[in-house]
Amino acid sequence: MNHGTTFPTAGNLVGMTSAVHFDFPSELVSRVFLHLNAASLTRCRLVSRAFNNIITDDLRLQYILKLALHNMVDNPEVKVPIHQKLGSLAQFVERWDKFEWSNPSVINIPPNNFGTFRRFNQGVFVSRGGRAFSCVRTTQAGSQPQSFTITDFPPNQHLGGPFINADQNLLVLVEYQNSLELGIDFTSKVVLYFRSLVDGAIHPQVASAKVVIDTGITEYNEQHCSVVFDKESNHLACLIRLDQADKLNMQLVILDWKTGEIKKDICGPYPGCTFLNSHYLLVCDLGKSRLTTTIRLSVISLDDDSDGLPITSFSYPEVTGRLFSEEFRAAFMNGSSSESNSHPLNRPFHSSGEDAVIVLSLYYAAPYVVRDTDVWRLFSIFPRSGILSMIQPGKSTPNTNPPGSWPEYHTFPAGINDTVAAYGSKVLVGHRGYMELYDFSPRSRRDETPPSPPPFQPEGPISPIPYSNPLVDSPRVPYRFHRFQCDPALRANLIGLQEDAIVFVDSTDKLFVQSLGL
Amino acid sequence: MAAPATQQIKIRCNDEKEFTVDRDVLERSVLIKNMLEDVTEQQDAPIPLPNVSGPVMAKVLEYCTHHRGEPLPSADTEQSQDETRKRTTDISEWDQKFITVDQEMLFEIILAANYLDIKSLLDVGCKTVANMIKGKTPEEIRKLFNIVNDFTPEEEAQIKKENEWAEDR
Repeated sequence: MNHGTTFPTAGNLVGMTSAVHFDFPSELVSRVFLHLNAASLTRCRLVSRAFNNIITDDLRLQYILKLALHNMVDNPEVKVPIHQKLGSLAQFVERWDKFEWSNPSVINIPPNNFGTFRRFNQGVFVSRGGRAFSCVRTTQAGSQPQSFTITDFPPNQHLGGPFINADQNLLVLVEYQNSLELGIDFTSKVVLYFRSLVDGAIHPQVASAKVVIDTGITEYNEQHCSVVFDKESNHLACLIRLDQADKLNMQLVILDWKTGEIKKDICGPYPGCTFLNSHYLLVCDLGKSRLTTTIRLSVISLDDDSDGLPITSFSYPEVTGRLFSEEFRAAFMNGSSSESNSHPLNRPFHSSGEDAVIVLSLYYAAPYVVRDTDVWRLFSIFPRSGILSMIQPGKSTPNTNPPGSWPEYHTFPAGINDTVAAYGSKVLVGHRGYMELYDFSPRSRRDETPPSPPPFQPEGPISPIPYSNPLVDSPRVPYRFHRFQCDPALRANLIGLQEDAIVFVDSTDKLFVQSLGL
Repeated sequence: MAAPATQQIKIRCNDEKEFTVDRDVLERSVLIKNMLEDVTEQQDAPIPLPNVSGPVMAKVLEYCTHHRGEPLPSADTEQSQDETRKRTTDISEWDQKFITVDQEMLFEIILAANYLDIKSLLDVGCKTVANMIKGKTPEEIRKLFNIVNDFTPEEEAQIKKENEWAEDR
């Protein structure tokens, strides 16, 4: 501190080792840098050699940069050493880069029953309708599907679902018992069955194989049920729609799935989709009018003195079309409970259940696709900020995007309807005989002068080499892009893209699971 | 051997300035807490703190007094914060006001918090510096901290090339 100041001047910088900065040891500078995002870090690299060395030497800072490069965010719930996280990220990227379509696991499903498929703990779970279920492990490429039936569940009585808790391998089936069929009972009932995802046996952790919920109404016109899990509290939220006469009402039941104890049972005007943690329920409502769809997020407190009405609501009225994702759900992250940050939507949330990445310990800011009249748009949910962001066509840099999001947008040709799936920055589009995998991460934009695209040959053999996306209207964005050849005669009817697998149902009612074996 | 809450401890800074402080306030500093636990008998001599000056210690004590009684972060949270970056740079209102000091004092407080091992204060300081860096160009950051660009043009071009992907974020 020769100069009486706490930071070096030009004079005392000469001869300094790279480990020292404005009198801070490099450990402290790293500590400061850990609060920066990737964009700020890249600028700090350009400040001086010492700054650059600190950033390139610190694995934690490298992790921040690598995540941003692949458009991913960290999962703070997974506490493994930083080099392991870096390693699994590298492995993930490498496997997807080398991915080729071959040797999938195949499950036959009944015609016209496109079998709900869900991700579970390292596998894909398929409901084949009625009492029949199958699952495939995606941790081994080409592994054989395992099938089972649940005999005490009434066939064709689904209210929704099946619902699964991926972490606990828990399968929940929902049955509705109409009071008219029950005879002596006055009110209709909803029954939840708790089973193991792997073999359909009674789940070892539950106190009772089923829980009966009284709906409070005598009859119904239409029914629907959704179930959401909160892995922190072992709570399960069951949202039952009750249509009685002209009134639409929802019954919300919170219960501990291990004991079957009902914690809360309230009725209110709750709309469709739900996201949950132990303290708040986030309700997502798609309000439809003739021309537009409004996405509204409401937050309902689950505290004991709550009346069950939303404590706050946010509307996203500009969105036209519909959410494409098969089931639009996420959970608040139940972690840092800083008082200054008490608003639930200020907290980061991440996709829950089957969408959460388990093997890799990483999850994404996922782009979803929204249908418009003639184009497909990317629609993003940013788990960190909780912001839903529409990426507007016609504007290359919309200022409505949250920090760290990608200003680019992408349009797809019309008519691809149900054959699009998104996972992280990857979007999979199915066509007859082949599939296309897009990568919207900034990494893919770094590729210099991509090779020119091969001629467009939908029915011919196509090699999966990366090249720029011909559909993108901005030529400076060479998105990474792959094509996978399948049976040329078949068309994918329903596509799923997961962290470690591609899943799709083809036009012959077979379900294919192509695993990366991660 | 729980000491009475009113026990007074004397400390001496590197400029001979002395403070007499309640023990529970001083124990916000893990360094001093461990020192006090090692000493079994009553001592009248002040604890020397050769790395902290009087004015900085006064600020640090202001912080410790305000936050007295709050639970100290456990080793577990320390680890999880190191492993996974806390992206939020939210600072509570009181802390925000407290840390609004000139740059020299800010850096001194961070160094003192690091030396005295007061994790929450260290976090507040580091977040404040991070907030100063955010959104600034490399040249603005150099100006802010009085740092000289010691890159050769080739090195600079190389890093710029590596950074290309993040530039228009």
